[in-house]
Amino acid sequence: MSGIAKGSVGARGHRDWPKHAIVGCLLLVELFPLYMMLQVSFKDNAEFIKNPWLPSNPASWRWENWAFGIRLIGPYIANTVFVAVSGTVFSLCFAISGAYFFARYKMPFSGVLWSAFLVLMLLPSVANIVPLFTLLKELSLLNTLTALIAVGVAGGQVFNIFVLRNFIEELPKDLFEAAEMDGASHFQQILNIVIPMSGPIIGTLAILAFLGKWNEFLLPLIVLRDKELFTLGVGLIYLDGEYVKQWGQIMAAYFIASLPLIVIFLFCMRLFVRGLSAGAIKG
Amino acid sequence: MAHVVISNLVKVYPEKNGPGVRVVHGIDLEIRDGEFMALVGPSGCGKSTTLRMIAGLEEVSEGTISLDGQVLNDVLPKDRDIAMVFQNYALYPHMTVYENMAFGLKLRKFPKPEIDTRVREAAVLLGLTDYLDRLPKALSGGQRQRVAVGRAIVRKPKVFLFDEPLSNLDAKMRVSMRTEISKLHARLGATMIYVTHDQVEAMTMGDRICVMKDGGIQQVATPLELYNRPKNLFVAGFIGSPPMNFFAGVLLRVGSEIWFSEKNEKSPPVKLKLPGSISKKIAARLGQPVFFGIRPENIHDVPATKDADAGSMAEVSVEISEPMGAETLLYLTTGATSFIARVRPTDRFEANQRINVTFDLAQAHFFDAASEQVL
Amino acid sequence: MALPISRQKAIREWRLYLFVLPSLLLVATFAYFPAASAIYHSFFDWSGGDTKQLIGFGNFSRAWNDRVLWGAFGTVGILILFNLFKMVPAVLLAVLIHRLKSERWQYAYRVLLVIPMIVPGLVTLFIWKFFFDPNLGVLNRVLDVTGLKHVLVWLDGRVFHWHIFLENVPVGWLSQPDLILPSLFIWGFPWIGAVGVLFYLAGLQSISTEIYEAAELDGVGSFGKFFYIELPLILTQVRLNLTLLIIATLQGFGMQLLLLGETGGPGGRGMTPGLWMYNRAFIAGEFGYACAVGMILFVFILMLTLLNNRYVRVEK
Repeated sequence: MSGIAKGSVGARGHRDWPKHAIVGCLLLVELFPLYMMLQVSFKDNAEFIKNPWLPSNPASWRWENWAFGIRLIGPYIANTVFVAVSGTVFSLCFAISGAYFFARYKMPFSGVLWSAFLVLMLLPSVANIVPLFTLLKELSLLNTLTALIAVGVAGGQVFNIFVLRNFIEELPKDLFEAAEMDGASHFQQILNIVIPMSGPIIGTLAILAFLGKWNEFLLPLIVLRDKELFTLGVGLIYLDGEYVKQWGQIMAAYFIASLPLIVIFLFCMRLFVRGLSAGAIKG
Repeated sequence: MAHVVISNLVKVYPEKNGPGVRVVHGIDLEIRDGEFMALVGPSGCGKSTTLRMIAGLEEVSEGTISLDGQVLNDVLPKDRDIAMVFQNYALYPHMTVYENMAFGLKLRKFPKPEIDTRVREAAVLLGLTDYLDRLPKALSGGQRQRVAVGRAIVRKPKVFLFDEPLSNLDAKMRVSMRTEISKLHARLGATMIYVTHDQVEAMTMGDRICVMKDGGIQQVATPLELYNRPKNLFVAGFIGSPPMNFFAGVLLRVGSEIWFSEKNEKSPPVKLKLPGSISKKIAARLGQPVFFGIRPENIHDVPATKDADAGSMAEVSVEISEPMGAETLLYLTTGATSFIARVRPTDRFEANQRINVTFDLAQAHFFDAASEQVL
Repeated sequence: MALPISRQKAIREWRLYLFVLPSLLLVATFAYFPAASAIYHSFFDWSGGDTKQLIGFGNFSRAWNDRVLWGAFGTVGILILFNLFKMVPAVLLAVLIHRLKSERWQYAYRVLLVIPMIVPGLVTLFIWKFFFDPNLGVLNRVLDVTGLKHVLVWLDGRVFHWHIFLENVPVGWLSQPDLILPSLFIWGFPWIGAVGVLFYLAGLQSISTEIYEAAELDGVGSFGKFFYIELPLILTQVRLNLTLLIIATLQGFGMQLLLLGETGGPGGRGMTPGLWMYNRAFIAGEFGYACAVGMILFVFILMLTLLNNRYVRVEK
């Protein structure tokens, strides 16, 4: 948050309550789907039809909806956690590594390689899906979670390397030189200088990567066939398609699907809001 | 033994379409075992580049650097047994003081007890024992600098390199750190190469000083020798604060005497008679343009009553007088040349006042105007 | 900036190339190769297996005459307009929050804004699909409860004659061809995406209070402040978001796929070019043709991006 005294932007003489009213309304509407999801998850279809708006009496809350929901998408969540965590870890490791290459010295050909990466940033990936599918088939990676991880990591490289390179280049050069004289190899320099000093940026990138993988459904839809391997994305689609819907259970499942994200956000609330703002100012 | 020999060292920075920028032009320098050698010069003179080549952080374009007879050109920085103290300290921000100092040893796989002993020894030496658990951001500039020095000490290297370590400190801190480093040198007796643009630092700390300019060495000598017997105009004007005064002019023969006549179009030029000792050496330069150099402390103001030798006197105008307490600096002008004199503390001078000053010509230096070499 | 390095040292530091190797390999395999393959295969009649037949520009001429494809582009154009309109509330919300006096409330609202982001995008999509459900759906309930349904029925009967809003018949938002586009428009109400709002807020916060004070002295009112101070300064971010938005909408088909199915809903009204590509490849098995469609889409987007870059640079 900038250090400018923000209090006086809302000018004297203008009351704040109309603004609060409008903002409040907008936010309420925005939070409405969330509210619905929660309160419906405790009802069964009959109760819902009778009383769609208000939460039902807590005494008659249908906790079994939740139990069922867990059974429904528990395995999907497990798969997704695996893919998301591995994907994020590998993606960042390779990206830090690659960004270090570009940021440390202007090695021969680094200009060419950098342009190659940049070009990828501009290319929309829409046309790739079809050949990607056949490629995965050739590599016998169809119907595996590895495929999701590999493609995800590859896709994230460009953006992550771009951001990290700019950041690493801003680190004081003499720190690296001191480490060089202390006898640190490049790997040790990354470990002891780059990573500790890039904490917030890496954190933000990690969150973005994790989120991306969590929400992904297109690639898993195309790649995965076995129900046991389904990630959240496909799992939810499957749920939506197959079921004679017991909305209560489905809503419970939806909420459970959101839980890991809630946990992460509670931990990183500060970091995330600050990270977005900082990113915006730099951009 | 830590005897460094630099031979014909050249550094060229490659340019895309061209021969490249030559930053160091083939210098030769020898640093004796246990010596404190100061490399001094204005910005861009190549002193830092030279230091970094000794450290191994810059590649040598031509020439060699040897330590105790072993050529270092292709040896990795970490294997050169050299430690460096950086201008901005370069402390690892997320490591404590202890860890910062221990890092190099840890990387070299020293046993833990050994590391601990060395770090604590260095901490005692530098007064850092109470700060071992602090992070750099909780330290003052002077303390950080000491940690940087400590990091070098624990390595027990053959040579210490200092890259303008005091330039980021405030004046007071600078003075105290100067003495600390000097004491350290006396204590450890190690070979130290110290780069600075501040000639006061060089003068006070160096056993010998190497004055550099534009990628070349101007003169290498002890501080006093540089001060009293500068080889050229640049060194003469660089060393000493306030700097030496220079008057442009020619040498004339007047009868059996040789006089210096200032080049002055605005007012009567200063004319000074040269004492016999000097006359002999510079007789050859009669008629040619020369620079007459004299240090501020060798110019004295003449009280109105006193009689002085006309040959060493001149009437000049006061521009400003700066009473410093123990002395007064007088900014004077002949009309063509401005110069400074250090006189006894007094405040009886005013701007535009005409006074008489006398020059102690035994301390005069003459330089050929074209080659700028001393005569 | 990355330090320049001499040839000698670079050779000594050859190990650095190893650091970029994994990224390079991954990107070459999973990004460059498919891209090259897409271009290559767009000239073939290919069903994804080993059999393919070179047909030159056959796919492209077929695309030229493909009514569905051009219809899809038209649809996507309309969607872009929708999305442009949907950017407005985010900006307005950012301005409103920015102008609040209490810093604590500002922070509170930011947190409240981020909370909906916790719900994975997919879940939000499905919840909306639930809302659109004609029988159990919330949307229809809202219309009934607020009486808007009657207004719509009246309008339909007397004025517009759409024959969509009928008394006692639940509105089929996703099943009536004519309602598909409006449904896509309504989706996401009230259209305040947290990411956008937070970005704009950050930009607004870099405006110094002095400008506001000067405006006060000049007697500029609330709307004036918006148009003269805030809008111009946010404009760069808006433009950035705009570019990203247009590109994303152009290639988007995930939402349509999930809400409407692979054929873009009844009457194919929700078909986008991306969806058509997906459809041709994975439903009809015409991989070669799908590649061609993908190529066309890609060229389109590339042109727009270049145009936009030039426009932006000129402005600067």
